[in-house]
Amino acid sequence: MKKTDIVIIGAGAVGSALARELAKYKLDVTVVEKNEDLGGDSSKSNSAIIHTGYDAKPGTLESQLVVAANPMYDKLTKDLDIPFSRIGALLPAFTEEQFEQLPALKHKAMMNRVYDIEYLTGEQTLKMEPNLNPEVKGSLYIPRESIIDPFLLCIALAENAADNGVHFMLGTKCTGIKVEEGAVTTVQTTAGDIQTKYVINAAGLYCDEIAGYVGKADYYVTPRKGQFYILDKNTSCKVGMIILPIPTKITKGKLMCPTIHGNMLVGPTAEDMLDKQDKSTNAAGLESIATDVRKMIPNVNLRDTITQYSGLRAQRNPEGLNIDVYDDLKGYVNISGVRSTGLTGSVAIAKYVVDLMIEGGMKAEFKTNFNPIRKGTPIFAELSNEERAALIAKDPRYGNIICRCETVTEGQICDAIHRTLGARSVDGVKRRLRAGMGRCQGGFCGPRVIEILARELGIAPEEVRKNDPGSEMLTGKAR
Amino acid sequence: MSNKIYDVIIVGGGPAGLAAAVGAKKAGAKDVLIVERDISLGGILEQCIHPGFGLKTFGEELTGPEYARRYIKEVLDLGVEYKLETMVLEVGDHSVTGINSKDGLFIAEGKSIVLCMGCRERTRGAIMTPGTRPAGVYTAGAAQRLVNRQNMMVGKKVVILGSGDIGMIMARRMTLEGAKVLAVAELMDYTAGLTRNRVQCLEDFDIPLLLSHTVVEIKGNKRVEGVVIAEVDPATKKPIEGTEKLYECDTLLLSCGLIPENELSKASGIKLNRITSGPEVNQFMQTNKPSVFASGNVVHVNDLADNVSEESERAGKYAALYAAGKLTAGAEIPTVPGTNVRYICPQRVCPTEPATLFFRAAAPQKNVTVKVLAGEKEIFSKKLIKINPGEMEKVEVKPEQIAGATQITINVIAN
Amino acid sequence: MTTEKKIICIICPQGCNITVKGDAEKGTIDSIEGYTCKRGLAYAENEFTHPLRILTSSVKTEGSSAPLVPVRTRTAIPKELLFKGMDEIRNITVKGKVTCGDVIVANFLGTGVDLIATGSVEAI
Repeated sequence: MKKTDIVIIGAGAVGSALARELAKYKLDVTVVEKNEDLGGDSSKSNSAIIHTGYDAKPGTLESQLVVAANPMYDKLTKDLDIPFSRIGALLPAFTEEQFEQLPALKHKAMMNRVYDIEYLTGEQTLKMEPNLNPEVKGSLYIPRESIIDPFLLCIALAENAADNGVHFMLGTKCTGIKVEEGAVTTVQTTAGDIQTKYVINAAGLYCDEIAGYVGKADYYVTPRKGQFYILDKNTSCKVGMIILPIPTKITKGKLMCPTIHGNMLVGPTAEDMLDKQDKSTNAAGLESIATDVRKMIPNVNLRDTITQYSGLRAQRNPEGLNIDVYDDLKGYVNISGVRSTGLTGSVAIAKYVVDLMIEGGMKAEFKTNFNPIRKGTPIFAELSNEERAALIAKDPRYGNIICRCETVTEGQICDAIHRTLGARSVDGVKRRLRAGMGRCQGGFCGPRVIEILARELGIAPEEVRKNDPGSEMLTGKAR
Repeated sequence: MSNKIYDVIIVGGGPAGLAAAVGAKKAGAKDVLIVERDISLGGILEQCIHPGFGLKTFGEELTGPEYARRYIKEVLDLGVEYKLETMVLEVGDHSVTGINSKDGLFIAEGKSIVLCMGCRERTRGAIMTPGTRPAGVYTAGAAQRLVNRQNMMVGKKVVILGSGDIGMIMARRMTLEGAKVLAVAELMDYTAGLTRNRVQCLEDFDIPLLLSHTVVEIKGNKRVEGVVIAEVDPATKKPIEGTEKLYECDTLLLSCGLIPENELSKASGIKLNRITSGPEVNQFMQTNKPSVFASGNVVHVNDLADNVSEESERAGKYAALYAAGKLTAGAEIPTVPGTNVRYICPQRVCPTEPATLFFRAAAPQKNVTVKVLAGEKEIFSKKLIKINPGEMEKVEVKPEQIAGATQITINVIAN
Repeated sequence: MTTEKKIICIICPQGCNITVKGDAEKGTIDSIEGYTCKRGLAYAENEFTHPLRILTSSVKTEGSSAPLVPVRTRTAIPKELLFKGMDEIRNITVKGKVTCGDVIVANFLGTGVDLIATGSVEAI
């Protein structure tokens, strides 16, 4: 039987951040992820914002961890070589009623220790974002609200953890946890049992099911669907910052912001669902985004959309971020209620959990050889012509552009496949490099990416998948 | 890269680029360079293994690869230089910046440039088809490449959304290759592609054509498991509630229109037309930048490769004349789409030379007269039994007919 | 038995509506109306008595620079033979170099029409 010190269930943002945090210690750590690739479920389909926590409920664990996490991203994203931008957010008020809410929102931010929030007049607001509805009466400006690539964050955290010794078992589902004499002993998985001292439940959307295996499901999780539009980089009406609506009781509302790669992101809806796998979009939801966002940005051109997607937030019932350890269940940590702020919070949650475990008596000695630095695949599209020429001279495959829309080369695709925890599928390539994420959505590069994946992985083209087993791209050979 | 200055540099080696190179050489250009991103010359023709090419140009019916080969042979015989697997990153007024594995990054200088980048297919995202995002949703052209060039089958039970020519041709292809095509759904109340493709690709194989229908939902988490098709109100194009029907299938192919690929043109400051999404040109296929010409589907989506070849030979010819200093600018007359005309290409006409005006109808109509006006004066009219947006029409105008006019209008009027 | 058949010509994009009257079984034609060219006339005659189509596809290669080489019947063959033709084509493998125009199968399906290559591949 496989033996390890700690099993982390889930390789979403929280699981990956935990893996990297624990990689700093002399511990044997294993991550079990049901999906074939990193990034979990909720972590890869969201608004890709690193929040400040200005609007969290003051005094909560969520407020504490999100507020603490935000400043960590400057160094972290440098260390992990992933894009990150502090573009700031605006919270504009268009009606008297909304305008009257601004002082309370500002006060809430102060309660959350987000002191750098500023009030702007309507005129100042329009000057910063000329495409806003000119009716704007004033706004709150939150300079540290930031954007990131959520796939790359998870992938880079996990990759760096793996390079520092953490084992990842992808495509492996946890099917049970054995408890003996009040302590966890074994994690049962589709790839066999793993003997362990600790289990951390970072299963997000499915954390209630995992908690059920050890009788700690005193809550349940429902998926809350959020649908989004991605607009072409050349769309006529753009914004430079995150434009947030004044929140209602139910949701933070529908926002518009640039993505870290220069597209526009518009959404999300907030629809309470039953099926944790239903990531479909629907006409009514997409229509509601159009209606709502036009109130803030009247000229937003949703006809410039290149894709729509939906993500599922893990809505805990009862609400709230909870990180629990139990006197009657040694070695088990339960993380639940990680919702839309989870991407931001992940790195602080990881630190908090590890501290909790050490405080609880876990023996953890610092490694001397932990390497926090990860070097990503070169982003050809962002290089200068001189840098490009140098790269091609070193490896001619960088001269072969496969994805025209996002300028992704064969060299990058090969690197993404062969690096630690590399791409195994068409979506894997897409999420790491953006090949197929542009305006033609893989129309041109799709067939080439299939060929390259098959060649580099040494499999038949008809075995190449979009993502998980069952998502084969092709049904066989023509001849 | 040598310090050679080319007479004409052509971006793209598909049907447009090949014909432009031939046109340029025949008009006396000495050094002509084609820059092509794919592994061979011929562009999309290489995957169009069906017949229907060349009737106009060669007087016989050819397949895409055969049609391409005729031009490729001519291009090689004429001594045109070319670079394959080479991506153009930037187009300047007199230069092209590209990269490939062999040369690395290079700048080629040319006296004139012809843009022949072709077009891309409208995607599921662009038409906003709701539902899940499983494997098995392909644009018809991507599927065509996989099946006809890469020896890969994309599916066994297929629904096709959109009745563009590639969609109908792929309906036949998939059927011949052993798949079952359940239906072709078309949002409009007429087919988008050529009538002959409706006959020989759909009717020949009893493939149901559902006009005024669309896919309202894609089902399946991993691979497509089905699509829901609903009837649409012909006026609003909105799905009619209660008409939804599930088609169990593993593949959805999309043939919902083509979009000229003008990212390079846009970045280099070429003025684009709102309707065609391509550069605005005069009858010499000259853009607003005098040294930059454009032809083929990058300008406007053509119905036939033969038409692409014709206008591209013209583009090549005038690019060569420009390079030789023999094409001078003068005042131009705008062309204006009138009644039931969606667009006219070229958008501007130089009145000192004859011009062929290609146009498409906005909606299908029977028993019509095409009237061409120079200013207020009717200079040409012809009767047609029918006119379809899927098929391009053309009229010729002569210098003496349009001299002094402030605009040229085309109207399609019921008899 | 005399019948009337409405045919949409597929020869060129114009798609003329042609009406043919005659006895299809006997192969006799009384009248043809609506065609606008000689090719259209010939097409309508055939379409009434014995519809013909060019079959295009591709055949597998071995030791060649591409996995497939495209093929066609040099001229049109009886429409009802298309699927039989595909069964035949699926079983063909060509080796090494093939040049556009090469005869892949002479007298394809006994039609008297050759199956020819419409593209070229190099030997590897």
